[in-house]
Amino acid sequence: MTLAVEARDVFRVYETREGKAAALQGLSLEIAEGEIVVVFGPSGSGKTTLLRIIAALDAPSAGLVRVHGVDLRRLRGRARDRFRAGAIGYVDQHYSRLLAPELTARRIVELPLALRGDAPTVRRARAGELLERVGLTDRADSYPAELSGGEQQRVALCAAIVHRPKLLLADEPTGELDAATAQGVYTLVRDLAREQGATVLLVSHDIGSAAIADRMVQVRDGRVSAEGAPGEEALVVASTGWVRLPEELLAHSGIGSRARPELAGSSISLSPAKAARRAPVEAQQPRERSRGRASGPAAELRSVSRRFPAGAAVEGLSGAFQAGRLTAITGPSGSGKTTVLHLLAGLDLPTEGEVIVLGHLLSGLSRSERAALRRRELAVIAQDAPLVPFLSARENVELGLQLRAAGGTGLGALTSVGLGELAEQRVDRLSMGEQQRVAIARALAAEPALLLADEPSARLDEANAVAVGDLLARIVDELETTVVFSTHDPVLLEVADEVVDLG
Amino acid sequence: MAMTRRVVAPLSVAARRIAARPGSVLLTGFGIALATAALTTLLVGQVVVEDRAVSDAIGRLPADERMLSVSWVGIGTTGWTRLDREAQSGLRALDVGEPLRAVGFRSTRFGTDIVRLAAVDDVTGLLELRSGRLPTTCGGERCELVALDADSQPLAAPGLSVTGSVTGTTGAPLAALVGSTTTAERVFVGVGVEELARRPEVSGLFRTLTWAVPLNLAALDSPKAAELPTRIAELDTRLRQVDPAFAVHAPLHDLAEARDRATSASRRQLLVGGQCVVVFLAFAVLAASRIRRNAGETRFRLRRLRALRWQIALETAGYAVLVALPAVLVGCAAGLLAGAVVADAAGRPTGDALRRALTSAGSGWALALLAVGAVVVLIATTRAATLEIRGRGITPVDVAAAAVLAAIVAAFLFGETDAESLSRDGEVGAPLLLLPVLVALAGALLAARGFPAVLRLAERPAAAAGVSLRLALLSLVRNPGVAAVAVACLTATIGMAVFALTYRATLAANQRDAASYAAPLDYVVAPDPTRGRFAGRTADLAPTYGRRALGVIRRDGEAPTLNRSAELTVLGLPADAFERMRWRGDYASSSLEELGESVAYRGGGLRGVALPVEGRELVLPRTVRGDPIRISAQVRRPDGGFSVLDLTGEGDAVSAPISPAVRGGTLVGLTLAFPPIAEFTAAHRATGSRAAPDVFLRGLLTLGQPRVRTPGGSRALAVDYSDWVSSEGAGTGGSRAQARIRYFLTQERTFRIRPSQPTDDEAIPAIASESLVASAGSARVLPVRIGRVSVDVRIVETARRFPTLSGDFVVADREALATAANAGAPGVAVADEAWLSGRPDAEAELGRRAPFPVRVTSRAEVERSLRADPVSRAASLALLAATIVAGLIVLAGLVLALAVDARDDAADLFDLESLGFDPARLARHLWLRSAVILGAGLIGGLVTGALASLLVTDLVAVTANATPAEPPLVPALPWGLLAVGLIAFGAVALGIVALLARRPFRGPAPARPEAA
Repeated sequence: MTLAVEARDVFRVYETREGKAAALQGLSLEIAEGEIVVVFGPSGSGKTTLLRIIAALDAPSAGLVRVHGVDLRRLRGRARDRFRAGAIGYVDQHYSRLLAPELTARRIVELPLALRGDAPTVRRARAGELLERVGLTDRADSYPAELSGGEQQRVALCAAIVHRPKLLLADEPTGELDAATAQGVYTLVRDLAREQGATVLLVSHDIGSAAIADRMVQVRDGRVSAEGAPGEEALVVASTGWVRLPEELLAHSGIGSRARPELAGSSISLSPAKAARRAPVEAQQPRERSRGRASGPAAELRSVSRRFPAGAAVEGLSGAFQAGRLTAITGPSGSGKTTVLHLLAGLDLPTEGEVIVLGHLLSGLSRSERAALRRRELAVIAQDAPLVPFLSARENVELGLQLRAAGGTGLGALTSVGLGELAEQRVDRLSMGEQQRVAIARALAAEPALLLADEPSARLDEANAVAVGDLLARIVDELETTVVFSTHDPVLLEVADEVVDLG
Repeated sequence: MAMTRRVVAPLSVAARRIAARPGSVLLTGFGIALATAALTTLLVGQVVVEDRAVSDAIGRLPADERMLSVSWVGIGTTGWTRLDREAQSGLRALDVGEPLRAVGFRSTRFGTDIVRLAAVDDVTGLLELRSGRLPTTCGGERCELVALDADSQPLAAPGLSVTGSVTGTTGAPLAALVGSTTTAERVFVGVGVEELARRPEVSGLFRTLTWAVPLNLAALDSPKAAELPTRIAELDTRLRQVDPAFAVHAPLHDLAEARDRATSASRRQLLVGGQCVVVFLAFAVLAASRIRRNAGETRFRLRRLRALRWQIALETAGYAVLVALPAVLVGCAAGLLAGAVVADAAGRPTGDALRRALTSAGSGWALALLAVGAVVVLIATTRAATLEIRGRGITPVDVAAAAVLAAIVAAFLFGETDAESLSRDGEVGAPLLLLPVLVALAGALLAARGFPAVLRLAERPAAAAGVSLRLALLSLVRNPGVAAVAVACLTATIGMAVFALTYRATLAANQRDAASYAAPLDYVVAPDPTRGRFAGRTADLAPTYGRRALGVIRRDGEAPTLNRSAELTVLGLPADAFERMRWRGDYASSSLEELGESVAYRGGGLRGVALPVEGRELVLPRTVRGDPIRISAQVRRPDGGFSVLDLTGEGDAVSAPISPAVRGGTLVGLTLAFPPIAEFTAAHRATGSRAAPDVFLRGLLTLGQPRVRTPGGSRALAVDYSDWVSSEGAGTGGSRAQARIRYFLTQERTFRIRPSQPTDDEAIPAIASESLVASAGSARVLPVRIGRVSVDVRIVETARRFPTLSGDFVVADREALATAANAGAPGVAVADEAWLSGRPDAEAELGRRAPFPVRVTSRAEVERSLRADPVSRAASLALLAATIVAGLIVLAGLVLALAVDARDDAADLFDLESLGFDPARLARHLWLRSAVILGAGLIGGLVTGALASLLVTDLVAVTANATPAEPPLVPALPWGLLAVGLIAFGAVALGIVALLARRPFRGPAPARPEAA
């Protein structure tokens, strides 16, 4: 077997103002040529760091990384550039950053070939071919600002593979896409890989990606904890004997902070040590909810249209969002989910129609009055979690509390989303998934009457997505908050009281 | 081909980036264009200022020195045509003006008159008629002449007739044309050089032919002034080859000084010009910081899209070049246009100034350096990387700061040298003049580096502040990038404004000081030596102007030092001058009152024998055994001047009429000398071709009691010869009524007897310049020679400088000085200068009232002319313009910083609004950030500007008029004005920012932040 990627005992330690942080802690992984590997793992587990190191965009603090036999430690300067330019295709999770706002979709896709020196006819043909494959032929001359998030994601994918790389690295390539579009992207990735004999290493939280995977790899705490063909994943036992047990298993077993191993034939069993604190046995699954009865609409759209110069995002939409209910808005990319949430938040005004929130006709309120309404009654979790980047996680949460003149610290809310230990970290130094959770914590801490969330699980692994779903359900149940969120995540759709499909 | 495409691809990305953000690009380009325009204008301005400085410096020379002349000395008129052709063509080749021709003859004697004859081809503009009429051109049997500064008594020469009396017109180069004269000779001027030269009356006389070219200031530019000395030397050599009797005269030293002044004036433009360039570049940097984020994202994208490293670098460089180069070209064109306006306003040929500015090697380098610098600055601004060395981040800012600090140190080292050379020969070095630029840069870079550190101190207090203030401070503390750039730019810009303001105030204060230095009260009225021959006609001038006017004695003198004599000025001041004159504390360690007290003189005045007012003739009984001698009496007139009465006659007594001016005067001495004819003969014998034998007179003279004849009869004067002494200090060897003198006279050695004086046995107390103290030795007594007399002065105080004086000096009480000096040589120390207070514009009237030609120096006029001097005005206007431009740039910078904040933080602001921040609070957030940035910039700028001003004032001792400062510059930091100005400016700026900060939040709903 010829290896496309060989990573052995890779460490990556970052220096931060708050101290050293280890993103990878002895990760080892081998990928055969032509193999399609999907990497799962919770946010902050080191997936993106692994991809960046394999793409020669970052260097490991220790350990060996070979790509197609090339030892990346020995690559310097031009050789590293040539290696990246020839062998690697990289799709960033921040896909929007890949798209130059001043170039059209076609030119963005062509640019890597132009930089390589390909003739205009060659690159035009290749860009056209790819854009056609992802269904964007008619959007080829559009600028990124005129494309929806899903369309931008596809353009970024085309730009990443336009030069037929031998190794495609993709970091959450479908994070913003609806299930159908995401599946199309996966299929495209698989087909292109097969056609070109390319190897694919794909980081995803989307279980749908397993459909194209030859092998699934689980990364935890900077190490590979499990791997195997889809549905046959096995725990990885490192040469040092290190094994990472899944949290669910531990929770069910009641093993707390200490365990006693016992050899039973060819298997090892673990039981709680006598002196150790036993963990409560609790299943990590969506809470059983008593779906509350609607007590009238908290928000209402009446024949709402919102048009932009590039086209209409919402056209003649009507609907009511019942108070004390958890309502999911779903629909394909570009269907207007974000626009509806912005209209409900008073962050945008309809071109036509009326938006009524908590009894207020928003178009009748000034911008300041709408801000005051948000301050008093609403919480908004925006897409891409644009928190105040120079504040810490705790300060971000407390800022929301201060604005409402509510007391207390943000620590409780952060602990509820599993970020208690990162409370003092500046949010711009957290992973995207962690930032998403800070945004959720900030919204939860405010105990709003209406919570609006845009793709709250977009960057989260399944476990965290489940936890978020649970939190949203709990806030509805305990605080009688009305929650409206957009999503295409089945986990969240599962907990919704109602689903509004904009498709 | 593929390679070409690889090169074109990143460049096309850069071009598209420019096209997508024309606003930011235009602003950045605007800054670079302004910097280039400032530099180009500076280059043209330097040429213009150089030319103006040269012509002004030459224009200030007395008319008889402001000329080039060729002279030829010989006898007869043979070969004159050739000489004339050579001299005229040589002078015309210098291209500085049209030559005038004159001839002056050596003294000759007509009857008993010893006279000098001279002629010019044209008297227009040279002579001012006092009586009679101007002469016609010499010709025929008679030649008409006019008497110069003398009465028009006829000459004892039948062919020469005197038609009138004239004096030299103000500013006419008369002395240079007809030659200097002594008081003993009468001078007559005719019209027609060749015509007079061919007359029999002057045949056989040595003559000096002069061809003179008054320097045409309009045609005299700096390069010409620089090359003139060489060309004059060449002309001198060529003419001497034609005839060794030729000589060329030119104010070479003054030309060199003018050239130095021009260089100083020209380079001084760097003080402001250099800062303007830096400030505009700072503006470009601030504008470029708007695209820093976009540039970083572009590099990220290109890297992700697998661009090679050189392609990423090419994109960055291409962007910078595409922005900078057109801006440099546009700026250059604008600068040339501005330069043309400046040249035109200064009255210099526009095309010539532009051509010279552009074709000099330095200009080419400067513009190329600016273009490269702009590109580098743009690249550095949009791509500032941090180099980690042992855990410490070294940014390009640190590197630049270190480089600038090194440059400041170097400027200091060069600066000291240059300051020395300045005091020596008036030069100012460019490194020194770039000091403010370097200080501004250093201030800016230190502000950029120090701002985040200072803000971190505010982090803890910020936690307790209100939400808006806390957020504003924390956003700056934790994300200081663009804010630090803004603070750096504001520091440089406000620093420039402060420097321009304070330096302008310093120069203006120095002009006031210089005017007070030139005229310590309101006016100084003194004899004008360029306006004719009036030595001996002067008198105490102060009484002419009333009781309050101060009579002052001013004479050139010499004092022996180790190996040579030091030239100095001797000043005699009345006691109350020390109470009334304007003074500056740094002139001397002691106060003015202490200085006045130290030289106070309580002895008596010049003693003598009073002549009765009704006296008509002075009669002196005398007997001579030996060679005949001339006896003259020195009389101090009632007007304070001195007259000499030539006592003539045969027999036992000599006599002289007492003119009305002399009546009532005081007889202060008698002089024995060669009789006039013997003196004339001896002089000719001494300068003849043969070796002259020694000429001397000796004998025994007995003097009796002098008498005065009055209309009422003869009256004996109360002379006590026993109290009289000789000029050597010995007694006369006679009785009370009779003196017996054994004499031995040569042409150079006369013999005087006079009454003893109170200053005979003691040195007079004086204030001296510091360098003279060393020459005085431990006794601190210094013999000072004034004309033919030596006066001992006792140095009781020292001063670094004294008003109206330059170089070494001795200042004494007027009465003491007059007594001591006039005792030795009557008339050598007359208070023929007056200092007086008075209303403005009295200059002409004061001149008219003077009994002899005077030059009136008005303090107000000096100050006005210093201010009106084009070089000074240019400096002042440039500094004022720099202040205004800096203020505008600060405002533009604040607006830019605000725009950058609003755009770059759009996502944060959107998030805050989604949290419930209303537009007013968001605007306040932006305003508070701007306020902090402005506050930091104001403090940094104030410190930077004041520091630059102090350093420049200390090291660049050049006045607004580009001359070495006398008195030296003293920093004038107008703290009150600065404080009020900066507070007012800050308030206006923050008001504008408050208005603009609301703009991004005016719409009905927030705009969604762009993804990139």
